[in-house]
Amino acid sequence: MSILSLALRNLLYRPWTTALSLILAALGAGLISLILLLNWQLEQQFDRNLAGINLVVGAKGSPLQLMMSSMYHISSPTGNVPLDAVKPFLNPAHPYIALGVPLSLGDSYRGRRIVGTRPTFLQLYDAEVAEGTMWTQPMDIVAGASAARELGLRLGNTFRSSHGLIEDEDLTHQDAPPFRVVGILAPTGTVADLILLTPAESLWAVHDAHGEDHDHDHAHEHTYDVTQPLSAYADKTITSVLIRFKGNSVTALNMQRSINENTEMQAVTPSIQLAELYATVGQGEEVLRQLGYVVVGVSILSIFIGLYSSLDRRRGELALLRSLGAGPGKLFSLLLLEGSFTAVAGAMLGLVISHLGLAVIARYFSTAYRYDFRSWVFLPEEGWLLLGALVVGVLAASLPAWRAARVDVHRTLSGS
Amino acid sequence: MLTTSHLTYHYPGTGPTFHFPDLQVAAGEPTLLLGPSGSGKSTWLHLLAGILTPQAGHMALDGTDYAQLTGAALDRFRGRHIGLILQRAYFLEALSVRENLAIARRTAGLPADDTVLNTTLDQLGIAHYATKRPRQLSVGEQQRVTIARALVNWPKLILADEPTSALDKDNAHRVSTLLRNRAAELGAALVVVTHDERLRPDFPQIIELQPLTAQTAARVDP
Repeated sequence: MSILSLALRNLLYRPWTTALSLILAALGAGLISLILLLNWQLEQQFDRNLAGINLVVGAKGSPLQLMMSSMYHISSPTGNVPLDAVKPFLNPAHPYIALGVPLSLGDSYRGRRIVGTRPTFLQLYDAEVAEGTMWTQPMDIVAGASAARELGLRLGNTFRSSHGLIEDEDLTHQDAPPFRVVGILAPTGTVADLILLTPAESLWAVHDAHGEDHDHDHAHEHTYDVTQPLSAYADKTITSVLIRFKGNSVTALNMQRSINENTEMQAVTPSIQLAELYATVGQGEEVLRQLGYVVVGVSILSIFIGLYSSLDRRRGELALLRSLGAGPGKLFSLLLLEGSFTAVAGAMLGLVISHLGLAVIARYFSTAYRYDFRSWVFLPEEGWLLLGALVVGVLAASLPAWRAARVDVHRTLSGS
Repeated sequence: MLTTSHLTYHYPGTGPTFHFPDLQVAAGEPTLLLGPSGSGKSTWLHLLAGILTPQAGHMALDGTDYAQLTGAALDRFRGRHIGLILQRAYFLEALSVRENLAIARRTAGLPADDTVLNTTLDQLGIAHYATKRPRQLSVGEQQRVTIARALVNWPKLILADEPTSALDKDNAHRVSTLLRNRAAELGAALVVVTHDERLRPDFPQIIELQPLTAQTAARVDP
């Protein structure tokens, strides 16, 4: 029967008061930790997939939407641009551009986006073919690691794509030639894991068939050579180009301005868009964080009131402990232990709840956007949160503990 | 074993000043401190128990003058050597009967000892209540738990405050016998503070306290 176990027994002896304090502490800590975790996850996901891309060029529309659809494969593309207009960005000999990656978006297979592109796409994300080979002809698919795993795709599998980005039987391109899996990428931890890559020509081939439904003879007349540069096709359109510059960002800003002012296209700087996005999200986050602090404040109050109001009832008990040889310091630490234990246990409960909450959110994100959130990552900030809870518990308990230590044994025991 | 001399206690401010008679209590000589309410019985008991510190005088238990002890040293001495049976039964409500005894050993700095706990509970006939909460017991049973708790550290001095005032004649006699027998077994000095005249025949040494007014008079006019 140590002081610590006595403190625990005392807490269990008034379960409702303890439960209330515990729940409040859990709510406060849980809210703050959930914000920390979400923030971390979001920035992780966004920053990891920035992939050194300096500029995204695509059709006019919402800049955020262009970035989201082309870089993160969330939300719909803004539309298409003629290949002619973006041809200069795809030129490997361009003086300022180190890497220009064309993207053709708009089709999917069972919720996974099919991205028509060029092999330079792999350079962006440092991806390598782990199984099979790179594509050699239209309709060849090189699948991202997690997309292949979750769809159960093997080399040689064939499938038909759907129009649009949602899973819908009615939108399947029934008449189009099927895709065939020829390669699977090694995991990269980036957005490249989540998508199905194919030569840009595949999407044209699908839609050629679509458009010429009634005229099957022509459907297979198109033959594309996927090894030639995209600029060889004059009358085609693509969705966007991801650009990595050679030099500094002044070039980027100038080129961005010039595209936005002089063409029918728009150019977006992802780092600036992300900063704006974080600032917007940050406001909501700030409100939630403040709410978290308020709840923490209430939980401090609840621990304090719980202990303080128990003093009157426990005066006899405390005096008894003194008469049994426990010094004032023992009584002080008894109440301090009760307070800090409630706070720390509550905070731990809060961390568990926030991780469970994150797991739920992660499930939603992985079904809705195919993004993988890791819900069992523990941040160093969470350790600080527990330490903070300890401090909070000690603070809340210190005044009641001080009063307990000063109980007048003689007056209490003689009943006056 | 317990000897006191010139014990004086003055309540802070304008409170009364008490001068208590000298005591000599041997292990085999249970002592009754008898007096009406307001005669300073509680004050005396709390002085002997080391809860109050006298302004003057000495009290020695087995040669240790604990009137001179303060703070942690006094707390330790009290926990280790004095078994206190209070008029009102106080318990650590969250703990079982057995754990109430265990914590008394702990606060006295003694090692946990199941045998001592079991023997003590057995001797007081409350072994079968060991796992119950004290508040689930009857008043008489509760009192036996407080007696058990006072004995569990094998104290040198057992102090009891009005142990029989709420009991009928038979039960009063039973408790008085119990206390004397246990004290004799432990070789402890026993001091009972009471206004219960029925206990007179049980105690070889009886010291009567005068009401406060008489004490003050005695001091002014020696």
